[in-house]
Amino acid sequence: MGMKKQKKSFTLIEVLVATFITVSIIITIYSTYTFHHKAYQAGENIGEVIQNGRVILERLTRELRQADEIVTVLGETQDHAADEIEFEDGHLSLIKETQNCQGATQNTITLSSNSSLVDDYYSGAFIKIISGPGQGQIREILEYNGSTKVATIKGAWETLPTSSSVYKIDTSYYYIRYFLEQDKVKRQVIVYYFENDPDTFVPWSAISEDSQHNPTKNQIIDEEIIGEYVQSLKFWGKPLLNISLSVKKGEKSLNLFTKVFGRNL
Amino acid sequence: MQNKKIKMRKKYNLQKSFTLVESIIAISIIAIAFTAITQLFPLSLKIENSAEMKSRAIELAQAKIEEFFVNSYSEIKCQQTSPPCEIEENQVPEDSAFKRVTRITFVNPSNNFSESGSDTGIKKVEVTLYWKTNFSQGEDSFKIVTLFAQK
Repeated sequence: MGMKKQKKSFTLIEVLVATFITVSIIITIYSTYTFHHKAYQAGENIGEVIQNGRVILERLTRELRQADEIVTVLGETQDHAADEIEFEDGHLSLIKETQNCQGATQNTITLSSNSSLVDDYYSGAFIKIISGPGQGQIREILEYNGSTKVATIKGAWETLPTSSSVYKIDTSYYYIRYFLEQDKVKRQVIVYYFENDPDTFVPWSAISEDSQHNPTKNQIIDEEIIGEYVQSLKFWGKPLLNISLSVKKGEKSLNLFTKVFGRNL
Repeated sequence: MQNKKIKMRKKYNLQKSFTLVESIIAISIIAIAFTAITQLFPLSLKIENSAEMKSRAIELAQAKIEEFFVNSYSEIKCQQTSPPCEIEENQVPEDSAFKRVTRITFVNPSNNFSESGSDTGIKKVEVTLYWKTNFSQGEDSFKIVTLFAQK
């Protein structure tokens, strides 16, 4: 009995105190962790929302400022705002060339030997194979080397053009359309043509000169996503365009408003 | 044996120590203080909020500048008065969180673009956006400047 009493052990109070201390430390650490985790997520949402908002407005205003014509009918006030916009691209210089190609690889095409010597002269333009192998394909030119005549295209060819293929580059009428699909803002490049001549691009409002007076048909030649988490996108007013954009991710929402003056409208 | 016990007692009694209540209070104070301090930490949120306000301000400032692009040189002025003058919008119509001040002045190109009392053929437009910051009671601002030349 005496021996047992002398054995050192924790009293009930000591155990309780120790447990209390441990628990309070764990709670403190855990709450700090969750708090910071929440703050991190909130921060990420803010960052994402700002980034998307700015990228969309930046691209839109840059292209609208230079637009040659706005196809979409825009209301005068926000109540009559359009939720998409289509306009004629005014950024590219006029190029009209129909030539024989020298060859191609999966994502390049070698243009005719009398093509421009200037690097990137054709960048941004679309090249269409109008006859020979690979006929009917349209691809955007991303880079061009003036000395080798090699143009790098966006994506890849489905059927490789060969030296017997004829291509056409015509920058006169490209139309750009920005619109909202679910929560993504997309940008399309559209061309208009008459049914009997799909290789000649015409203005969207053109009417065929023959007796039938056919309206134009259109083809989407490029589509890409510009930004996401978008709740609404509105356009109104002309030539001073009003743009209102609302972006939302999680609980964070951002409303941006700006105006842009289309100098060619 | 007896002596030893008494000695030990004395020794223990003499030693100063915290009581249970004291230590519990101390721990809870530390815990509360610690959490309170960490709540102040997410500086990143503060910075990101200010980045958001700045982004909104930039677009609104640009919007005002674009309004002037529509006009000819002679039409670049405040509602009634001609430069040097100021347009003050206490609440930007499209975003009431901002105050916008537009100042139009003449500048002299041959004198380092300093302000001039008379029309020199160049107008300077300064658009400043002011907004209240959430965290401190302070005010933040953003300004862009552009020049319009007579053709």
